[in-house]
Amino acid sequence: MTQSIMVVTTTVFFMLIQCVDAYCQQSDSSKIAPQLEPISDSVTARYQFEFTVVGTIGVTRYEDNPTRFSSTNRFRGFAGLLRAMWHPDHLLSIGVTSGYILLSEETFASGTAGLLESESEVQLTAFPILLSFAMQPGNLQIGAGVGAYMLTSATRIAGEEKFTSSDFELGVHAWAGYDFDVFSGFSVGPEVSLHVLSNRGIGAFHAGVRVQYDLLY
Amino acid sequence: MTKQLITIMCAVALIVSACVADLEPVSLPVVDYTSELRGMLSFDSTARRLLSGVYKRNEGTTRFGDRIAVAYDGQVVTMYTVRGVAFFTLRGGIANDSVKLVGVWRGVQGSETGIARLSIRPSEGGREIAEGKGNGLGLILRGEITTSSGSRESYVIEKVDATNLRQLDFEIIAHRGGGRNSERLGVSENSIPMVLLAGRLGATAVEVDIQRTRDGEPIIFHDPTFTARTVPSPYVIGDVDNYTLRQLKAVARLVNGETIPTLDEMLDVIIDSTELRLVWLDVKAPSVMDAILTSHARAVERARQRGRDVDILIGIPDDATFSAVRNSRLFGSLEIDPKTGTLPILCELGVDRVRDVNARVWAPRFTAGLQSTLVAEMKKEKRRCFVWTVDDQNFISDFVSNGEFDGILTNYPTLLAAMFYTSPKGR
Repeated sequence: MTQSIMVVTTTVFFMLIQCVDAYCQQSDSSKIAPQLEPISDSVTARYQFEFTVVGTIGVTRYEDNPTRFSSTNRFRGFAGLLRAMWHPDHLLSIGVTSGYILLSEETFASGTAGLLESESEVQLTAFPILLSFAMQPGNLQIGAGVGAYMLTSATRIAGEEKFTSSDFELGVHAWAGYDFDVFSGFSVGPEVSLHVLSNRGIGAFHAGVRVQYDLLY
Repeated sequence: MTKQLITIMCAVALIVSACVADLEPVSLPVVDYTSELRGMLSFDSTARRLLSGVYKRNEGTTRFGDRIAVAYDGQVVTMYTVRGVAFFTLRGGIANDSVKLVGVWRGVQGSETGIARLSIRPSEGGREIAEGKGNGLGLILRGEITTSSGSRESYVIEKVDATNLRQLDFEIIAHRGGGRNSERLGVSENSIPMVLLAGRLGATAVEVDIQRTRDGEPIIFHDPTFTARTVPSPYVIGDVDNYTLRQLKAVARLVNGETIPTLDEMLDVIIDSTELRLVWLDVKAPSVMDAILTSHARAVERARQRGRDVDILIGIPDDATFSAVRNSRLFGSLEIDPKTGTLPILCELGVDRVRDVNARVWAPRFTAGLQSTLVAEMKKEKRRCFVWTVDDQNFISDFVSNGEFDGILTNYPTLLAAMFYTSPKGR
């Protein structure tokens, strides 16, 4: 299931890239044929370095209920991401994405059948370290990242001390955002994103706000 | 340049998304044994012994080859084939001097499965079994099997060797408690349900792996870290010894939903609920050797109380474990076998170390070859010799036909059982 989502996401992303590529070619042709109007000022006058802070809330979906005490496989979470992108040529930018994602948090009340004589908690968070690519047609930005997610599980069972354990998993991230220019070099806008860790059967869909600063604008 | 980067990016994304191949579970067909066997008398031990032996194919489907081994595990009659590497689990009964067997078969190296319905007519050995006489030679099992595609194939086999296969002094040792997750047996490796299945897969013995929890409990688990391949629970990641036993019991589930068993739980089940003759404890956490030896002593006593003849061996795979065993304060409490004068230890190191620790079993890696001279030396010292881990049919054939080992550790006990029992040595 998660793999199917991943393949569909990648396909959609690829189609979007094709659209952007066609758009770029239009833009290129404007240089050769100056009689055509430039499609957007932002295409030819974008940043060289860009920093984006993204704050989102979202839903994490596991393949199955994560514990035998869990009543669902969907959980609310949030994320704070930082993206640094370099814009070497034309519309494509390359960079890194990192941050913090709360994937899920559960509390089991005291007396839960079969386990607990006092309250227990489990939590899963992720620290992504992703190589990211993005395209910017106009004020729209679409991108994808591939890399490692350091997953950290924190568990406190029935009054025991809280323990954490971490491991790396491969994952992919795709996002789409729109920028409203606020003032010189700064823009703000909405962003939706998807994180998929297919090996672990984890998918997370988030939506929120992005604040972007174009260095050397 | 842009296009190249985009192409590379998409290719990487596709590779990442495709790098996990989901193994679809194999669903065994459902058999209503109650209605199939209504009005029939259950088999007794004599009937199971008469059925046991080597059969040849007379007519019908060739998918299982020409030689078939028939044995039993508890109340279940089992069959093993080299071709197709299939095992059958059949329940049966007797009525009016006829025998009926019904159950499922499964090819363990693929996903082929189906139902088998076989019977023995009174004149073809049914009467012999009903009366509990003779040795079963010449009895004919005939009937049909269904396949995954829904087709029906006739099947007629005849008993040509009356050896009671379970009595042979050779250990078919199943790796990871019976088989790996990749064989999609419907139960997880190193789990309680897996050791309960092991006998039906053809095993007479099992190897189980011991790791340790954060609070020093020996548990049955192979790897030092949790991965999605073994424990899909998202809260269970990283090193095994990061978690206490209570945490693991609460949130960790193996791929087929079982809990991770402790060493004590595993040994109790093997002693109480299986007919396995030997357990190889592959110690991967020598730091809890005292706890392992305590569990060992408790299990030996439990087996003695229940009249179970099961040999529980402490495995020594490396120098660290060797030192841990020798230096344990409980080393002196290991009981010497009066027949052989050896300790319940299986040593994978050189023969000098085997002698040093007075191990009952020497277990070299299969890549070292047949080692006939050393095997003979060990046997002269009343030690047994096992070889590990042999999965390839050609290597199994070589070790069975030309080797002098007393047992083979394999991920495919079904294949080894079929090959050993139908070989001249097995008979």
